[in-house]
Amino acid sequence: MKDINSLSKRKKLEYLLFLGFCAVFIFITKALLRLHLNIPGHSMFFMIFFLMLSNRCVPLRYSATICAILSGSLAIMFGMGKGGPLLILKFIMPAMTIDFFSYLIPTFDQKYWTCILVAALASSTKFISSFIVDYLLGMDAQLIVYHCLIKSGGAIFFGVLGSLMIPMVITRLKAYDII
Amino acid sequence: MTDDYIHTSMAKKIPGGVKIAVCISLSIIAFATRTPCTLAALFFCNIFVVMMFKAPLFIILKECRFFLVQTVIIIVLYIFKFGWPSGLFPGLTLSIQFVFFLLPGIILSHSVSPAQTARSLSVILPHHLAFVLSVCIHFIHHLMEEVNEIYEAQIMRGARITAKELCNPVNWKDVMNCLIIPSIIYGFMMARQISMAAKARKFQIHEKRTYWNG
Repeated sequence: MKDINSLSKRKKLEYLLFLGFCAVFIFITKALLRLHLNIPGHSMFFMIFFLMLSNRCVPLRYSATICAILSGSLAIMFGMGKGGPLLILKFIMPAMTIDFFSYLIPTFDQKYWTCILVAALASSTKFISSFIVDYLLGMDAQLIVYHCLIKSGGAIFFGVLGSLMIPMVITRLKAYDII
Repeated sequence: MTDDYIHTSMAKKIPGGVKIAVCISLSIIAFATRTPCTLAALFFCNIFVVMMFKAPLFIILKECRFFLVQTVIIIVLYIFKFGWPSGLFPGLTLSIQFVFFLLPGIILSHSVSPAQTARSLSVILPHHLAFVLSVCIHFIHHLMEEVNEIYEAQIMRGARITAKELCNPVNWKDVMNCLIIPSIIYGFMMARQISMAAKARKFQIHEKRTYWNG
């Protein structure tokens, strides 16, 4: 991963704009699925896909986190999602997990099992954000765990499904000489 | 001048930052409200804020249907742990608290325009990220149009990606090959074009924020 300062200003802007478009795709898919499905955790499908894609396509450190900040800001602006002031955390925590694991496993996009592992860990951060909210609201400790497991179970399932597209998409993008 | 006109213009005069701060404060207060009396007080505070910000009450109530699933899960969990009559009241209290935690976000989204929020966010975000965000908002419509064009062109090419054909999981692969990958490539191309256009207009020529004053 290149340092952001070593890139030309135009290239840096190009990468940032691509991250912005990934954020737009996350926002649009979230909005469309929210209107039609309303299944718990379904939005993780495209969120994990585009966060992983931004991490793999853009050679900047924290690219997924930047994409998450942008999509979180869009969600706040247009009133999407149910997170109150913690809404942006819901976007940033999976992205930071993806950035962290891309540092540990630099070629995670080449194998399905590494993609599944990273996606499962990234999606499971929903447990943390739900835990924080439930704990602050004063819910019973045992029920917090049950409630968070219900919420994060769906997120992990859909997040893993979304990550399964990554190896194929990256291979195709490399074949087209995009990456 | 009617009272309604004065009220609407007053709501418009409240700065976006103040609205954001009020709504975040209301959400945080929801954590501390545990008794029915304080919940009732918070309810009236929310109603007051809705009236002050001139937020559309009917649309807000309509959006509250998303909380129904959460409410049911919380009440069922409480009844499951504490038994039928004794678990109902704390479960109901907590789910109301949960609604009051999320409600200010909905009020905010209906009372602050995206432009106002963008201005407030540009105070927090670095200026180049604020620029990227504003470009992205500007190009959402264009991007969606292009994705739609790709979708229609691929259908004409014979891709099995219509809503009816997608009921069959065998056709899901076509969505990736014929819609997702071309859209990503288009996103890359558009990012390249915009960055070149920005460079041609001497964007980021100085380290400090630059703007076109012509």
